[in-house]
Amino acid sequence: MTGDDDWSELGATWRAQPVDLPRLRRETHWKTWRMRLAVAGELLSAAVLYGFAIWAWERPDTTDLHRYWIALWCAVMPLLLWLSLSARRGLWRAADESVVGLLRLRIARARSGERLGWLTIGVTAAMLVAASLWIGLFHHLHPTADTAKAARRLWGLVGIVVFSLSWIGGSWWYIRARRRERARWEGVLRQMDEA
Amino acid sequence: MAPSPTTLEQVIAAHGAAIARVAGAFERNPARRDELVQDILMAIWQALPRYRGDAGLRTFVLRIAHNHAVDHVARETRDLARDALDPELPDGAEGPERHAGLRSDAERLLDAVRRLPLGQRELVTLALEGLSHQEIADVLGITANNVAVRLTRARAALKSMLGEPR
Repeated sequence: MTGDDDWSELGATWRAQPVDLPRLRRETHWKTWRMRLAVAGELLSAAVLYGFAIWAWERPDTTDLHRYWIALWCAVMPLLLWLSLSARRGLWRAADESVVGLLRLRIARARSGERLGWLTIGVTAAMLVAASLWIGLFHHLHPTADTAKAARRLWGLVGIVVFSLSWIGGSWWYIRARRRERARWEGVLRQMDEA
Repeated sequence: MAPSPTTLEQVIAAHGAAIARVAGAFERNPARRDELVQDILMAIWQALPRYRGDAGLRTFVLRIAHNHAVDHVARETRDLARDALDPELPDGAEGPERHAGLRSDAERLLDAVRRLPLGQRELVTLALEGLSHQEIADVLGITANNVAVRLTRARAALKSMLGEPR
């Protein structure tokens, strides 16, 4: 393995690694069938659920409200099915993008996630402040209002505060996860650049 | 006449070994390596209907393989740390004779490639599979000139690890 331009010699050594192709073929064959079966099962389940929806629609005792729900479900179902099947397609655009292109795409997606998280926190905090001000100033804004309902309003405010703080906590956790993800991908990209 | 569509069987026959070698360069653990190979093959299977033949099949296949390999390495951060801390960690499937100095050239080369930084590992595995500079540039998303410069550095690093004069 000497010489200045010895990729071909190194390549020959590299390609001499033993690979069990029949086993690879067998495993892949089995896995493709399992995936086909999973997709067929999903489509079959959707068809059964559609059949059930039609049956429920046709029943004489089905109310209009139930029919609205059935119609909504029938409209949303194809979208959910499409999302589920797309998720099975593995790495998004893996065949169309270069390695560096995909890494940059992932960094951009993580950054978008962070922005979305901050936006959620901002909107939730603004709504919390607005709700607190409204309930806090309610008696001043409506002096003739029933004061007996003040306690209910206060409990309502407590509920809103608890929900909002949980939501903000969840968003903060999401931002941190996206930040870690971005750092990881940026680290990989840096390694690529340092090659 | 339009070319007949490529099947997964044909891909495995022509490039299955290359995919397994690429996976081997990015994952030491045999079970996880098998999983990575299967993930790559499933991605190729799903991408094949979109293959139009504008790039060579080998480039197409290796691009998917490398995208998945980099994804795998980045996700397995613990393994990344382990690789960095313990480059000599033996493969579980290998026996004690490995340490008695009876390793083949191919094993020594694989060990050396695994110890390269991620970026260089990508370049080197593609070069070892016989891709041209332009093909490597297409897979990685960098220029062919950049490939040439980086390959020179990577080859020096590889030779140093193999204990050969640069």
